[in-house]
Amino acid sequence: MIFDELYSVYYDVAARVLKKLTSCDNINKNDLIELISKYSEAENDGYICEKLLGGSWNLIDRNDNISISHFPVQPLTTLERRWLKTLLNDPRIRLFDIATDGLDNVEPLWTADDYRVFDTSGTSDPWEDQNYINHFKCILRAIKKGLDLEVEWASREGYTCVSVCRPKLLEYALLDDKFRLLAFAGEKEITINVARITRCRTCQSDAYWIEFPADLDADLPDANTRLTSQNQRQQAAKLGGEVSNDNTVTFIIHDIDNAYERVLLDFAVYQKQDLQKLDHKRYKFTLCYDKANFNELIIRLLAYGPKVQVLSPKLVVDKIVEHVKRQAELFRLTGSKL
Amino acid sequence: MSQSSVIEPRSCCMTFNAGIKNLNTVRGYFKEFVIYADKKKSDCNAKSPKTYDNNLRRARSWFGIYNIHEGKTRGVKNYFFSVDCRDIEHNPLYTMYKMHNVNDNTICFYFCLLDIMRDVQRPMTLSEIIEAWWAHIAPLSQSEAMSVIDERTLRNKLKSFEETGILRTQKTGNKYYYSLNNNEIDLESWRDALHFFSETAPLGVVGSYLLDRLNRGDYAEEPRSPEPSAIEMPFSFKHLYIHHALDFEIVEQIFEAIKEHRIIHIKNDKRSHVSSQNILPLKIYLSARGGRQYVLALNCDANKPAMYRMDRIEKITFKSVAKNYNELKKIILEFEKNQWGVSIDHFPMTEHIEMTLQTSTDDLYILQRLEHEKRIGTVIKLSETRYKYVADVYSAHEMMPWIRTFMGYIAELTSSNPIVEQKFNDELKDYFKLYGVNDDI
Repeated sequence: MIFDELYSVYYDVAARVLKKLTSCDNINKNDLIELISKYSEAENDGYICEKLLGGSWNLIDRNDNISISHFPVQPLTTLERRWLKTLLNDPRIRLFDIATDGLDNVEPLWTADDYRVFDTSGTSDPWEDQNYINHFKCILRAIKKGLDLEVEWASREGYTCVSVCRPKLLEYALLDDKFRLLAFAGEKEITINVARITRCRTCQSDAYWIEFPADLDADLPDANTRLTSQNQRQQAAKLGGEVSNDNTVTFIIHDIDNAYERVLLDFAVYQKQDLQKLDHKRYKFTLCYDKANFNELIIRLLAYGPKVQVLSPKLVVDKIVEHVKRQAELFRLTGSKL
Repeated sequence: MSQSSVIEPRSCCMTFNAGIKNLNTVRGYFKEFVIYADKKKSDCNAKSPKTYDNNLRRARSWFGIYNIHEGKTRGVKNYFFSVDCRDIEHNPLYTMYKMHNVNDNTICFYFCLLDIMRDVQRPMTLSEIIEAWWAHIAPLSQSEAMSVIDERTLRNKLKSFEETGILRTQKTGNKYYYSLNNNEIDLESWRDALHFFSETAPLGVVGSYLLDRLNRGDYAEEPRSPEPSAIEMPFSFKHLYIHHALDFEIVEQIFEAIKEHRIIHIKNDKRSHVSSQNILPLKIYLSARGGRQYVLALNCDANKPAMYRMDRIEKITFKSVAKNYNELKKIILEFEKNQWGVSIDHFPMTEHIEMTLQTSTDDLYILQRLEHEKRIGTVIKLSETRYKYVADVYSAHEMMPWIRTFMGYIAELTSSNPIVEQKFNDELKDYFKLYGVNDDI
């Protein structure tokens, strides 16, 4: 079963402490308390200390006697093996150099017939293309080893672009089932569809650059405006940059046809800033968005029609109104309705 | 172990145990914190204010570096999870699955058993295991508390370890012999795959359990050392709906029922009322756009297919095996022929819809989007800037959210369901009122 005490933080911490005790000679009790504090949840370390070091679990007692002599080697559970076995049927597993021994005697938890994401955009990356796989592995290796990349790719318009850059993350988007490379190229950030890469190799470089045709409108964001993960914030700070997200959108949800629940589910991927109930049918919602994904935000807002009324910023309001006006004009021209 | 002045643990409350016995007790609260941001203590139907406070405390502890934001509605506080999903390296809700309460005897028995088996290196009977266990814990000062544990309890614990796959048994004569299952998997080679699939595959928390093993280095006698890496987590994720993790127990049981061709009894909480049904699960569907999970099943009571939201299923009880499962499975193939979303009420009857888009040469990406997102529909090119989308679906009305995203480019919209055209037209007029647009354009 997926919820079982074997997977719990209690077993995890106990295993770490027992491993420490059985593999090191001169252990200070404070070291153990620090180990417990590091790996247990904030509220729980006192409880675990009492149970583990106090003797309730009969693994260590107050006189420092230990009931085991070897560090614990824990076999994988059937659930864990079956989950790994299931992944072998996922086409994306080819992106990773995994050893498949040891999974012959278990059944997968589910098959492709049992599960489906039904509303992706139909633009999946070519998981079986060997060039794609090679490029992916090259990028992954570069990210993990802190290497630079020389990468050539075809832009959406068909232009050839080249860059020497420092790759930071591989971003996966479920909606279109694609990977994108997020990288620093000097003072700019670049985002490249991995499927568009035509050439890729690791290198060591003193300078980063991007080369693309002059007539290509590549309005690239400045470095550190997109890479906003917690760790990347820290890394960006080391590079002298600062990451912030000042872009917010505020809108009213008119709770017709269960719009309130659907909006909150749909926008759960965004950082919420505020949500207030105005009356029994209206809610005011503020969330943060990324300028680079402005079009995606507009599409999500349009999907709700007039059940969502954007209040600010003016940029977003104007965009919605532009769509509405254009639609009304089109209907008048074609005589369709209105 | 050397003694020196002992520091105190971080938490000041020595007796607080954040562990939980039953996920359902916290599932509802966490759904409120993660998805619905305006729920206050009084809205949560808490058994007591203390229950709400305890769960809020858990959320703050478990979400760690990610924020639980405090808001206010009419002077009353409400709490919600506030993070851009791309900032999340590991789903914080997975912590919930790692807080299963622990039985003092079981944890002791488990680690001692691993030690005993490693010492002896051969299959052992129950009595041999008990004798060895006593020898292990006897030197400890509080071992007398263990003397009340009887053989039957220990046999049950061994059985539960066997069910999880840690032990295997073989019967020789009238005796059972227990031994550990071997770890032949090179788990280190899976590290990057685990980072990826633990956040993208169903039941991803299992990937998190495996990463914990890697980080502990206790999955093999000689675990491979990890390659040095400049960064622990090389991936980030768009469209990561972390709340799916709240339903993993239900998903696990549904997959099991599908595998076994089993009818299940479900308790379905639809907010306005709770219903019970016998269903035969056939397939799970996930919406990447809306963040919802559904199960397509045969409603055995009404004898017709239906879709059920996973987040509303509270309890599952397994019933009998369906004899004609392979026949019934064909429903899926039939359903997917004209599937747009999850609407199935009119299945197998379909409604026709046609949408003609008109763009300019500057907006050709709209037509590209149409082509990518068409699903079971067909796109017909009428000219360089004019395309028609045609589809037969179970509910044309269900397509309205997608149709609206082409607002500004729809030259014509017709459907065998007259509500679709009328609704689009009415909504356009509502837009005028909302944004103060002059309708005399």
